[in-house]
Amino acid sequence: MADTLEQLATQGDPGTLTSEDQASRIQLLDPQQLYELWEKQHWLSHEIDFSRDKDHWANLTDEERDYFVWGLAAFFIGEERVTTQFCGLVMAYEDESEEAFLTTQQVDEARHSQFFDRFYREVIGIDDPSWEQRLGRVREELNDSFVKLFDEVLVEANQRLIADPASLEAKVDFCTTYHMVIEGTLALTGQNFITTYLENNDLLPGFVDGFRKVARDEHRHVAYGTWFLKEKCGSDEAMGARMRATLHELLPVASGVLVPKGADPNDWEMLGYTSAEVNEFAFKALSRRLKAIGVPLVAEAPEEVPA
Amino acid sequence: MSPPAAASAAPTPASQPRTPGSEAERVRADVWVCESCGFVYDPAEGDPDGGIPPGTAFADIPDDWFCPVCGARKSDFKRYEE
Repeated sequence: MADTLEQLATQGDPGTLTSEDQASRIQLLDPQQLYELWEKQHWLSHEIDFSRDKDHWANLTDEERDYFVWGLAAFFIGEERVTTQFCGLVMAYEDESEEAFLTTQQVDEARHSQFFDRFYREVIGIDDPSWEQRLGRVREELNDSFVKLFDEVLVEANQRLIADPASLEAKVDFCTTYHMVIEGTLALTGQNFITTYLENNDLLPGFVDGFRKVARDEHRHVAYGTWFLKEKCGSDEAMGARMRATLHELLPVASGVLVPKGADPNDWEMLGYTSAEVNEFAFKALSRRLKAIGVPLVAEAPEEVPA
Repeated sequence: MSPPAAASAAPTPASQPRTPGSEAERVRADVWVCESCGFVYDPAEGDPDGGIPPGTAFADIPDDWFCPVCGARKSDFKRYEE
């Protein structure tokens, strides 16, 4: 049986001392540099050309269509959730550069929602008249782990920041939840396999164009989260332990989000990729990023997340 | 597009002496930067965690390799220009 993301994480990080030394020297873009990068990488979701995608969609196999309807639902609903559940972090800025960057990320999430809404309307054919009705239909595809992570964990983390934007603990919890788990582990993994599959099969060119731009935005977001957590947790043992505890709590939920609808959670396939391949990619991405932060995963039993 | 401001993220010193025209110098010149986060790929160091041994030129990295910081793909890297 293949290791799940949760099982891989509890084994700790198998990296070498040499590479940890290299990771500690990585210099990261700060929020001002990331803001300036956002200006250079601006794009328009309503200019993506879906003209060839509708025919491609009609010619997909049933298995491909079923997978994309399920897999892209998590992105569409996820982007909508984050657009609103991100405002606490914007309120928690510590200087003007960070304020500027964080507002760009919230705008990015709205842009991504617009992109997926267009794709569902114009290509998939979800043509309910209101945005809310379309979201409601797409939500029917989601599994319980998604609902737990996006409707409960993320919402609570955001509410704690809104209640106390000056709380470093709440800010670390939010960035661990959002930038490390939701974007850095789940979204980038899904994007990698979906984009690679579509590119290899020359499918849905408009969607691929937009999805690459969404991914580029998310790389910038993850870069911010990595910078912030390195600043606050990289040399603070208590904050590092807090990050690890949050990760150990959330990775089992995240592991469930990756399981296609109706599949065996321990052994599944998507688009020809096995669950072992998908989980290994997700774990590798997370563990390398944690090394850059200076908080590598450890195999010991995690501490409880302090209230 | 020119490399992002992280050009301040200068490559780390290599263990080899910098002899002009040597193989070490040629490898050192082949430094690439991630456009999304500023991570610098220095072939003298490689990316051991990512399965890339020290001394590997950027062109020889597999296409499915990705940035260890932000997850960007190899195609999202640009050659580092001082």
